[in-house]
Amino acid sequence: MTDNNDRFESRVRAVFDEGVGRIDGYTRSRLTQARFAAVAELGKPALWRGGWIPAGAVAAVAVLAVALWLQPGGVGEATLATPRVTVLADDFELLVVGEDLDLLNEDLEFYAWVAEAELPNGVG
Amino acid sequence: MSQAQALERFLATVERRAFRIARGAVRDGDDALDIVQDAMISLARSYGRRPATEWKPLFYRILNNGIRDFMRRRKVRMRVMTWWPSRSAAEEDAYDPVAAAPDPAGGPLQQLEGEQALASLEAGLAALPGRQREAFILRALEGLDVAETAVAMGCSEGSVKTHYFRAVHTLRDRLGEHWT
Repeated sequence: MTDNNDRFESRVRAVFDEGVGRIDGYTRSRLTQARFAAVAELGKPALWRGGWIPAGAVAAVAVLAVALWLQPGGVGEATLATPRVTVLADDFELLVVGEDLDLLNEDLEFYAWVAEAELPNGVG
Repeated sequence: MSQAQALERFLATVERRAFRIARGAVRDGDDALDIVQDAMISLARSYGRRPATEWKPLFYRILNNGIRDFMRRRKVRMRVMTWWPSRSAAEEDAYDPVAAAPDPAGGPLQQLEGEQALASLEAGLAALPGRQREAFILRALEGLDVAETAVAMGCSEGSVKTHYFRAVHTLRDRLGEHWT
């Protein structure tokens, strides 16, 4: 029985291997291109390889959509127009305007101190 | 040898065999090419930095999953398409010069017999339950050992042995005595 099985497996393998050998030139060329494309993936930074850039773009769009929905005058204002929502919208505006980002970069430590310090009434 | 060279060499050894496996399962050359290409890219992305000794079972696992996903999507598409009118018989039988062109690799009678034998084998494999088919292809055609096959199939080694045993017997009965 084992001999029969061995012969059967050998025959099946031979038929399959011959079939692999008969693959036409067009298909072989396409497979070579696919192989090169796959190997090129190794050279890409992990950020690109893992598809994090598209995922990040989707996340950014989702945040933008939520912020627009929650902003004053937006669709969500009627039900969620709380001070916290206003702050969120303001923060978002601050983040999307390039000039304000530049301002933040100038002295982050100073802004951190301002946020923590107890300022006298009428200041800030 | 660099990791890229090692990966290139590995893919060169499996790509045609992977194509034959995918082609036998989905019965379409272009679809099979897409599945193999996706499998190669997935391997490079997810496991390209891993030791080369791990690639073979991982590659076949990705390939099997790709074939399974494709078959599932096609089944859904076929269900949807039954709601649309099919093409007429005349359209189906229309002369296709590309299909009728001789295979550049074809010619001698021996090759024809080889193609017929391969077609019988593919039909026999297609008729097997999915897990048995996977076990047989990985063990008998790709030469993976039981442990590697278990990794590729995502199951225990005992399950591999059971699926393989049943596949061999079913396939032998189906293909007939002249195969043994």
